[in-house]
This record gives sequence, C-alpha cells and structure tokens, in this order.
Amino acid sequence: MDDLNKTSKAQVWTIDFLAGATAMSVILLFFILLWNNSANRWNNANEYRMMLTDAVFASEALIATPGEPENWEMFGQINNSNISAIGLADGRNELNVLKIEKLVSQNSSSYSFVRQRLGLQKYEFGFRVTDLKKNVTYYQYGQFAGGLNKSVIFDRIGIINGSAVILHMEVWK
Amino acid sequence: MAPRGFIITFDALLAVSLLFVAALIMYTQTFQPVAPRGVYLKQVTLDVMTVMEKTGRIGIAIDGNSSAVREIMEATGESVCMQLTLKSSNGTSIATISKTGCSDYGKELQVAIQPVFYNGNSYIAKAESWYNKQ
Repeated sequence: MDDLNKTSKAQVWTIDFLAGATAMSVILLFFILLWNNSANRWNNANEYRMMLTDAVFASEALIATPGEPENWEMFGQINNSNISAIGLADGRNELNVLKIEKLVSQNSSSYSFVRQRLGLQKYEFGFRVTDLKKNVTYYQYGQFAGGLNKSVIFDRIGIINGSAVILHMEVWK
Repeated sequence: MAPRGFIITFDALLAVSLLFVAALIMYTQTFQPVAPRGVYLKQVTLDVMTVMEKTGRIGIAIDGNSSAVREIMEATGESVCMQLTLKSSNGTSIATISKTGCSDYGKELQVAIQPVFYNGNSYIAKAESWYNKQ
C-alpha cells in the first residue's frame, strides 16, 4: 500500500508539474509575442511621428522662408557650402519663381544637398507645385514613392504671381 | 479531492482570464502621433488665412461673394475641416463660410485671427480648422 501511494503521488506531481510548466510556457510565449508586437507598433508609430515632424518643418522652410543667404538662387551651383538653408518664399506663402526654377533645373545634382539642408537626410522627398484643383503641374522636384513606401503626404497652399497654388509634398522611406 | 481540484481549476481560469484581459487591453492600444498633426493643422490654417488675405479673397467675401474663399478652403486636404468667420470691427457678423462636408467641430481645433483693412474699414477674419471625424 505504501508503495502504491508513493507511486501515485509521484505520478500526480509529475503531471501537475508538466501541466503547470506547459501553461506557464504558453503564457510566457504569448506575452513575449505580445510584447514584440507592441514594440513593433510603437517603433512604427514613432518612426511615422518623426517623419511627419521632419516633413512638416521642411515644408515650412520651403514655403515660409527665403533660405540663407536669401539670394541663394543667384549662385551658379546650389550644391554650395555657402548655402546653409533652402527656402522658396519671398514672404510667407509667397513663392519665388526664380528659386523654384533654379531648384528644378538642378534636380539631379542638388537633390542630396537640398535634402540635407531641409533636414530630410534620413528620407527621400519630392514636391510638386500645382493649381488649386491639382489638374496642372507647374513645377516638380525630387523623387516620389508612388505610394509604395512608408510615406507622409500633405499639401500646403502658396501664392505664385498673385495666384493661389498647392505645394504638394511627399516624404518617404 | 474532486471539489478541491475544481476550485483550483476555477482559480486558475480566473487568473488566466485576467491575464488575457490585460493582454487584450495592451494589444488594442493604438499609438497615435498627436503633436505633429496639430502643428500641421496650425500651418494649414495660417496658410489659408495668409493666402486669402494676400490674394484679396477676404475682401471679395466681405463684398458678399464667398466662392473665392471657398475655393481655397476646398484645396486643403480631405481630413481638414475649416470655417471662416468675418466680422466688422464692432463685432457685427458679416459672413460665416464653411468648407463643404464640415459641420460640427472635430478633433484638434486650431484658430487664426487676422485683422483686415478693406475699403477704409476694419474687419476681423477668424479661420478655425479641425480634423474631420472620419
């Protein structure tokens, strides 16, 4: 009888232990997966927040400031260490055609430099100047993702030669 | 033995249920980047006000034609709602113009107020923007 009791008790303990360990493992695994998922989502949201912040401030630099020096468009090459900031405006929201044309004419050679001066080193970007209904594109600069990558897309409103236009901007990774 | 085992199982089920509820709450949390959206909304509000003022559209609205102002409002993104209120300097309301499809206020209201001098009179233009509820 004593032998029988010992055997039963040992067997119960083993099953209890196995069941408990299994349950614990499942719960632990579940929480590890949940933690990983939450961390990924947090990272994605944070990455998007940073991209949106950089994009918004870059668009503000373009549409509301003339750049530094203010006559940077008079330089032969935009890719010039004397140019510390790029802006397209004469006054707030008043876009200067000469500055835009200068930028567009040196699209390929100035792209990396302009990206850096706008604080968008970590991303690619492009902008379009269109009419209010977006039917006509007047100018286009930079590179566009075509909606395939993680991107921040938004519109600002400006003025060219007295007419209201849209500055459509895309920042992507 | 049997009732005791049942009670332990019930306890365990209760504990695991609580864990799963906690996990569900964690899983359904959304991570919304709020601050930059507010900054963008502010910038769009200032854009609209500045462009309307510099292109003379506010003056046209004071004269009673709201289409020029509305054209600028409609050019803002789909997620943005906007309303322009024009008042004379003594506070009399002249016009309230809303973007199509925008009724009551939604998230993150931003306001820009601009004094306007037109045809020898002073006016106040107030632009209010918010994110659409959708």
